[in-house]
Amino acid sequence: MSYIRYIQRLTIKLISALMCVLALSMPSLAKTHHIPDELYQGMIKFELDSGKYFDSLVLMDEQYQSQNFVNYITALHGFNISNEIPELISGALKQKNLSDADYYQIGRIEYLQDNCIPALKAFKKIKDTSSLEYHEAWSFYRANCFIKLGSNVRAGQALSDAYGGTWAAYAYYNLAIAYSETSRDKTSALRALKIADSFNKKNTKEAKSLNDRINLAAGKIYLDAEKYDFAIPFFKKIHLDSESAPAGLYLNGLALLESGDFRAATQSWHSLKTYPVVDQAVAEAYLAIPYAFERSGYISQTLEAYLDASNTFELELEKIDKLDNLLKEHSVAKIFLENNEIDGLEWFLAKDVVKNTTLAVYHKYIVQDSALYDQFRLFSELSMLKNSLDFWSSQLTVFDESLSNKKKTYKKQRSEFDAPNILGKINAQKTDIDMLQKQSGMTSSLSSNLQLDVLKNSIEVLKIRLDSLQKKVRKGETVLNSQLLESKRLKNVINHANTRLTKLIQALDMEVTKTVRDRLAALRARMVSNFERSEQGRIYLFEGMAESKQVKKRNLLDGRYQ
Amino acid sequence: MMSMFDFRFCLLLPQQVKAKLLSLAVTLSVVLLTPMSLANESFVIDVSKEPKKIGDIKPAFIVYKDKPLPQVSIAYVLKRYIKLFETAQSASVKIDALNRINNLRAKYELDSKKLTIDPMKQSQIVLESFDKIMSSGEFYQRMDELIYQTAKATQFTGNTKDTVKRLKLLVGLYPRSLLVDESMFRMAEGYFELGEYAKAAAQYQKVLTFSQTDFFHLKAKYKLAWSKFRLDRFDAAAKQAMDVLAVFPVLKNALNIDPLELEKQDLVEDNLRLLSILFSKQEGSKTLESLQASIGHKDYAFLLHDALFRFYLIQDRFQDAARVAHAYTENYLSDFYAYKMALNEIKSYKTGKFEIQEWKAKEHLVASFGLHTDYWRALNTEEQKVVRPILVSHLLELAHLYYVKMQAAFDQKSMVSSSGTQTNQTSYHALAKQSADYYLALVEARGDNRMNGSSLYLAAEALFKSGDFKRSIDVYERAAYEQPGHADAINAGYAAILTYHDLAKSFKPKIDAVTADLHKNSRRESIKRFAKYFPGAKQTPALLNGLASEFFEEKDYFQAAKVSAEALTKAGAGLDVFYSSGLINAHSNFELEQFKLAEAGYERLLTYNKQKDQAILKERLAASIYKQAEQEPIIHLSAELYLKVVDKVPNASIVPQALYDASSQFLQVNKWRQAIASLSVFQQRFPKHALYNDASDKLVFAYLENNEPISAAEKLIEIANTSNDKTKASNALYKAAEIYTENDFLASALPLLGTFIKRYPEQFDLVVEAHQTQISYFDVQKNNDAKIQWQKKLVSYEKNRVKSRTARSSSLAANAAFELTYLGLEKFEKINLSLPLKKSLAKKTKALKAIVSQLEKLSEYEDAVIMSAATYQIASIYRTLARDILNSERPSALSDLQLEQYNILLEEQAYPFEEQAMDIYKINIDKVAQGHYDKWIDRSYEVMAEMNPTEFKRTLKVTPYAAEMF
Repeated sequence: MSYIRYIQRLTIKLISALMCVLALSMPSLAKTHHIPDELYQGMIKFELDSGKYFDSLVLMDEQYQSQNFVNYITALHGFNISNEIPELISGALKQKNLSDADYYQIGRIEYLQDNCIPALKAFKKIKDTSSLEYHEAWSFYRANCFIKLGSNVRAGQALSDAYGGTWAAYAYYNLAIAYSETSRDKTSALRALKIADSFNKKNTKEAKSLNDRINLAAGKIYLDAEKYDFAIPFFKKIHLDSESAPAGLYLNGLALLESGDFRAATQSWHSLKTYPVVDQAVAEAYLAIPYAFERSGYISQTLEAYLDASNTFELELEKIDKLDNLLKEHSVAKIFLENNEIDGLEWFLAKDVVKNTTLAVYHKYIVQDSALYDQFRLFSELSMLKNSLDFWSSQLTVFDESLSNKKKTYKKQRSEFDAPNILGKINAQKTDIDMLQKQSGMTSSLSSNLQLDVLKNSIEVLKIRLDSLQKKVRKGETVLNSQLLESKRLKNVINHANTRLTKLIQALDMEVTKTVRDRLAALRARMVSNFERSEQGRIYLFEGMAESKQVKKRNLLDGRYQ
Repeated sequence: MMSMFDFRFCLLLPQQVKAKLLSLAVTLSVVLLTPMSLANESFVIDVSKEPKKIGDIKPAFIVYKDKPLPQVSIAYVLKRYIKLFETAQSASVKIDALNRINNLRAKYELDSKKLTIDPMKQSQIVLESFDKIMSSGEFYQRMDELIYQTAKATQFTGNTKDTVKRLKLLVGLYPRSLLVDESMFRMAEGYFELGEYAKAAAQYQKVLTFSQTDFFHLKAKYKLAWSKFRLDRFDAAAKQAMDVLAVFPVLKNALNIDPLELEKQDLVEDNLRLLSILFSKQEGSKTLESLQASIGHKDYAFLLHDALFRFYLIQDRFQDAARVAHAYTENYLSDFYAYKMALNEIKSYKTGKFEIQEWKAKEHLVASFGLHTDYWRALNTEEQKVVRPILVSHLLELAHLYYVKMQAAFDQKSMVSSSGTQTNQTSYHALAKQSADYYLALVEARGDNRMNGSSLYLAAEALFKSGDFKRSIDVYERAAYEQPGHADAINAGYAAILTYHDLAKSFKPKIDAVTADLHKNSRRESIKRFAKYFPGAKQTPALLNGLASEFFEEKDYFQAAKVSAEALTKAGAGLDVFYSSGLINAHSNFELEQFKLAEAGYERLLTYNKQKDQAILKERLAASIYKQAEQEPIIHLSAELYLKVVDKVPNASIVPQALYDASSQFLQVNKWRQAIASLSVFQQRFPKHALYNDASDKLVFAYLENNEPISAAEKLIEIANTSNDKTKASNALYKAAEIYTENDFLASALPLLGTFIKRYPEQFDLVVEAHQTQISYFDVQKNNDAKIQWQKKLVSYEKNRVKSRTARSSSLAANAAFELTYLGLEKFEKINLSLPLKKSLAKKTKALKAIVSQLEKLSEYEDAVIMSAATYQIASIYRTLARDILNSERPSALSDLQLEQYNILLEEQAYPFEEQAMDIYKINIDKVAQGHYDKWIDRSYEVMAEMNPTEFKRTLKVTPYAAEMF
């Protein structure tokens, strides 16, 4: 684990701790929910499944937390509040009434925590795997765990339980990669890719992306095996709009080069120039073009291509430096996440390569780092949270004003409230409906279509609500006063939370900015490396040119270590 | 959140892709082929509404064209690398740049400080790079390499112990690292450097035993050998070093390490040095042989000997070095390259200034590898091409050496001889012979070479000095004529000729005739060859002149002429030689009847103006020309040549003859005028010459032919008056008269004829003619009296010399006599028959008888025409008489009847004469039947036609031509 990654993780943990405090102090429906349990649980599950762990945490009351321990852990994990998770899981596992779904969730969390053995243990406790709701995901996680633990065979066996679908396709893809890197015989890898491809039949963006990755991997395996004629067709199947496209084009060029078709290789690499050079495959293509020219014997064009590469890298370095300065001056949030009109940012927003803006290109680059992706998401969630707090704060303000107004107008309104009249109108409505039902020709299907029963129920509800209203009106002022007090309290809480949240966002912004700048620095280092390699290539070429005119005096031992 | 597998995906790229592509591909593969996790969906940017695939891309249009490349120097490249090294942020690039800088500097031996980076600074930067990499995590997965680099850096800083420590760490921590082999090797190197040879040996052995690849095996083997050597394990070290050599099959039977890749050469060279040290520490080449015996082959014999040789040489152990080389030539003489060792032996002695041994080594070389050795016979053509120049150079040196020694000995001998002491003849001759033998071997070794001539000359000189004249002649000749272009060729050729004399003298007691003759012929051939090959040599004319003289004396004029002519063509000849050769040549040509050449020769000789020879040379010149004239088949040219004698040598004795002969030739070709001139000059200059009279005759002839009759006549008169030959004189006189006559100078002719008649009456024919000329002249002059006088003289002269009578004389005399009858006939005709008839008739009859008698005498001349004329005249006389009778005067008193009777009577009287006339005419006519016919016969017919027309006057019936008939 790299230092940067370690720092990222540490940052996230710190933030998580803050979040935890924040979340626990947030106004929650948990204690006061009055909606039906089924609906309540459904709402939480929906939020969980939607990955809105914060929202789900907000919804979860203590009872729910204790009764749905696994969901609670899942939400905490999802919201990066992982400090207590091991303890919580440990506690959960002691319970004897855990369902298969619970075991699945525990296994999943352990897997996501990089704890494969506990994960597998948890998965093993699932009694009826066939009826498991997340059967495909379960197979996927198990297989991945076995791969991580170095047993591709076990992974394969785990996948034999898969019924197909996208999860299985991904799993087989991963297995293929595992085979390809651990086994000299690439047949297993290719077989796994074939199965992955056969499972990946959905016409979704995600499936298409996986399909491209499968083709890329298969092509790569054949390329490594020096079977260029087999490799090239796979590369050709990769979609140009896919994120695999740059790598595909690059490797396609490589395969063509090795087939001896320097021109086609150069053309393939040339096509990559339409992609952002931030993608290393594109950068490599810039460096490979002169190599192909050199192999073709066009030395002057080789030089020009190196020059082109160097210029491109230099240009990109300028962009990186500009962006870094902007980040230093402002922050990630302002540059990447917020709509703003900062001077000097036009170039960043202007369309640069194909349809992508430079912003999009760098955004893509930054979020390719999973930690940063998480941080961006976290930032986004916090922003949403803040928005929500702001919203609630503003709502409370409005509510306060409304309550104050209500309080002022309450007496007048209470005198004007004519409950019997309203009840009469409701009853009249009920009478009309009854008459309508009794009319000749009113069939049951027609009655159903007119939802007469629903209307009748609604009238009943109206009566109840009228009754309730009458009670409220009766309690009116007292309630208004207490509500005003509660509103003020809540407002204070929200403001307090908002203040803390703002600080947290600012801290996160700072941390993310730093991380982004680090990543940018890494990109810069890579770009510098590319530039230097290009320069290195040029100098190699110069060296060849100079040596061709020199009489070799004497060849000594390798100069790198004498 | 954990979402991705972060274990590395190790990919193996195709081997042939360059390292730089390898690195980028690996990097990519890590990024691209990271296993997927659903939990972390990719960030997808929609860049296209219509998804297309890579295979759908239309190929980009790329123009391939090459442009002129910039001029780039190694220094420039180095500067770029240095800049890259200094500015690069990437540690790997920095380190790579550093490698390149070091390599280039070492490769091109660039010492410029501007192109140098201080090693300490390098190490510092490497260590900094290490820290940088460590801190950045960039090379996290290549920790082994980082450790390696730091080990290297510490090595640079001189901390070998630390280096070993780091390398140990690397090997321990990363046993599967690709750098392990090298690290193990570097560790061994470190131990070696620290002087811990046992550890070093063990570590090298580990490399050989446990390394993943054999990349460091060679160096390990090599250093293992060194380590064992350091541990004084000589035998083991030697065998180990031989193992190193065994790694390179290309070194089997190699001469040097050149066939090796350059980077391997230093190592092998040092390995050989180790072996050399080992041998030198023991018993040198003997140890070497023992080692070979122990390993069971001699695949590296040359290399080992060569290395040991060079080792000794570097240490100034020249004799040891030479012995090693010599040992090789003795033990490996079947090896083509043994000659190299022989050269080494020489080189070694030379470097060490062991002069005597050096010369012995050289003698050993030519003796061992010469053209008549088994070694040489085993060589192929290409190999011979290699060895030959070496042989040549050493043979040359040796030949020169012995030659110089010989000369020194000769000088010493001369000094000793002059002092009267006994000389060391044998030594001198032996040196000479040795020198000659080397020179001859040199020539043979060289083959066809322009230097051979000089060498052969020196060989011949040496042989001459050794007293071997016969061989020396042969070699001189070879020296002269095998390579005639060289500087000594002439001397050699000349020496060969001269040596014949020495050869002859060397025979004791004396050369026999047959041998002498053989030698003479050889010498002459030698001279000829000399002249042929060296026409411009200063010796050539004299040699040729001498040879020509010899031939001339032997009357071999052909050879004499030939050789002398050749001598004369030589520009460098001296005057005497030239004159002498000229004489021989001219005389020889004269003798060979090549007179034109002789003429030229003599003429040339006369230009030398040698008084004592002038007269005879002129005579010879005249004779040469005269002889040419004689030989000349074309007459007029011959004549000219005769005259040339007169022109060229006017006082030569042969000049009158030449003039005379010239005239004769002119006459032959009708060149009358030239003939007259020649004869005139002749007679004028040589009036008393025996041929004077003959010249006169020719002159007369020439005059006549040249239409100068008067001159001819005058010359004839001179002949007539001066010639003692009476006949000739008479003829000349007559001819002169005749010429005058013919040319209407009768006034001049007649006196001459008269003189002739008087002086030469016995010249019957000419005298008759002279008479006739007179008669004719006077006839023309109508001087009838003179004519009658000359006719009478003629008739009388002719009648008096009847015995000499010729048809001509008879005819002329008969005509003259016949014309003389006209006098009587005139008289007869003048007698008229008048009355009295009887008397007149008697008179007439008397006259008739007289004339008839004269006419009848003409028959004596037996000239048919004159006979016919006489017959006709007689007949005519009778007819005239008859007619005169009939026309005689009539008596006046006769009556008609009487007259008639008188006429009848006259007719009766006249008729017999008429009849007789007719009979006589008939005699002439009858001659026709005998085939004779002349004018007198014709006239006889005419008369007969009158007198008897019936019989003789016939009209000739002429048959008309057919044309007229039709």
